[in-house]
Amino acid sequence: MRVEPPPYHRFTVEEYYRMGEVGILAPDARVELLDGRIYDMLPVGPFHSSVESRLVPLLSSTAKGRWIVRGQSPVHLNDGSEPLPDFTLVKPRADHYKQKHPRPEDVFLLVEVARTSLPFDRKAKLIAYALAGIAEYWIVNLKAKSVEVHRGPLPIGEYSQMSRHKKGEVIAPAAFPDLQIAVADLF
Amino acid sequence: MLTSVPTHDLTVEEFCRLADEGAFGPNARVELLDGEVFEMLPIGPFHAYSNRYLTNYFAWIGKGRWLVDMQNPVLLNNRSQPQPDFTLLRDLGEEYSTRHPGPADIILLVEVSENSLRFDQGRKLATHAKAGIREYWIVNLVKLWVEVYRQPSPAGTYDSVTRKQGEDLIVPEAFPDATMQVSKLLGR
Repeated sequence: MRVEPPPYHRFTVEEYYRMGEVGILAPDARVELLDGRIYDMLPVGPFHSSVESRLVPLLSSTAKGRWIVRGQSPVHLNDGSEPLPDFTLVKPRADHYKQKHPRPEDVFLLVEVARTSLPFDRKAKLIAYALAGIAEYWIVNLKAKSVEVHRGPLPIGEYSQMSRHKKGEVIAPAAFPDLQIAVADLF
Repeated sequence: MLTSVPTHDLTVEEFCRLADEGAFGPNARVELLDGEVFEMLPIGPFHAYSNRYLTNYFAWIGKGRWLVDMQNPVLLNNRSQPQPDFTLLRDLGEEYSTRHPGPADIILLVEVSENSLRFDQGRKLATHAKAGIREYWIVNLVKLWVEVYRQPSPAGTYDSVTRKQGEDLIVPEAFPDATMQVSKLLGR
């Protein structure tokens, strides 16, 4: 028997912004739009924040103008998806994307730090990122203290390569092999 | 929960405000269930037949004991305002001109279901049970039977579940004379 998904109404990015304008979404609401559905972002505990704090210099120090690091900033995937990943490394632009959020083709690397949201990051978000063609997607798994590296987005909503890395290993994005991060340094 | 991250809940008030703003387009058929907006799927002739049969039969046999309603909103709680295919309502005179019917007003709620079975048997059923909808039928157009749910529990399930098909008679618990044959309801 074919199992059909519930008939969700899918909001467009335009409708989502409009909800913010008329106060249905509060100005400080921590929400993101994925595949037409609006999600509340989970509160961030201190361990999560500490990993993000460690990642900032690690992702920035070797940039030499080759990329811009954005934290919890929107990526416009398509007309129904505008998530706020924890980090993105995007193509440099003089205006720092002042007029329009980065598109998938602007993104070298996207990083989500995950604890309770791990199933969501591995499933709904992964599918959305792969479908949109986000070249490389890392999930920092707080519980396992490991990093899952996904490369080669496929139009079926999967990544063709996945590898898991733990303490003792060093990882680097395919776009910038010199941006080397020791997994141990994250936790 | 399917995903570990909650969807952002809308209240009925916010949903109505969005609808008034035209957020859902001029031709949208949408309803709010547990704070989330769902599309109401287009209705083909098989579905329409059952809707129409229920309405005409119960209107004819009612003799003033109830009102029949088709696809109008019902207000279940602050997060749910669905539009069931068919309801039998207590007749409250002009009261429904100021508010939508609520769970206490609904004698029977029916969904005719073809492409949304999993939804009607799953999330909708749980919402109806939690809201205390006392009797809920799903006219299953795929299996050609009617699922009869009674005795809602606050856990989101119905304690009594039966299935009727073919020449079986179905009847709302509140009114034992209002029997109909499943094959007549389906038109096959």
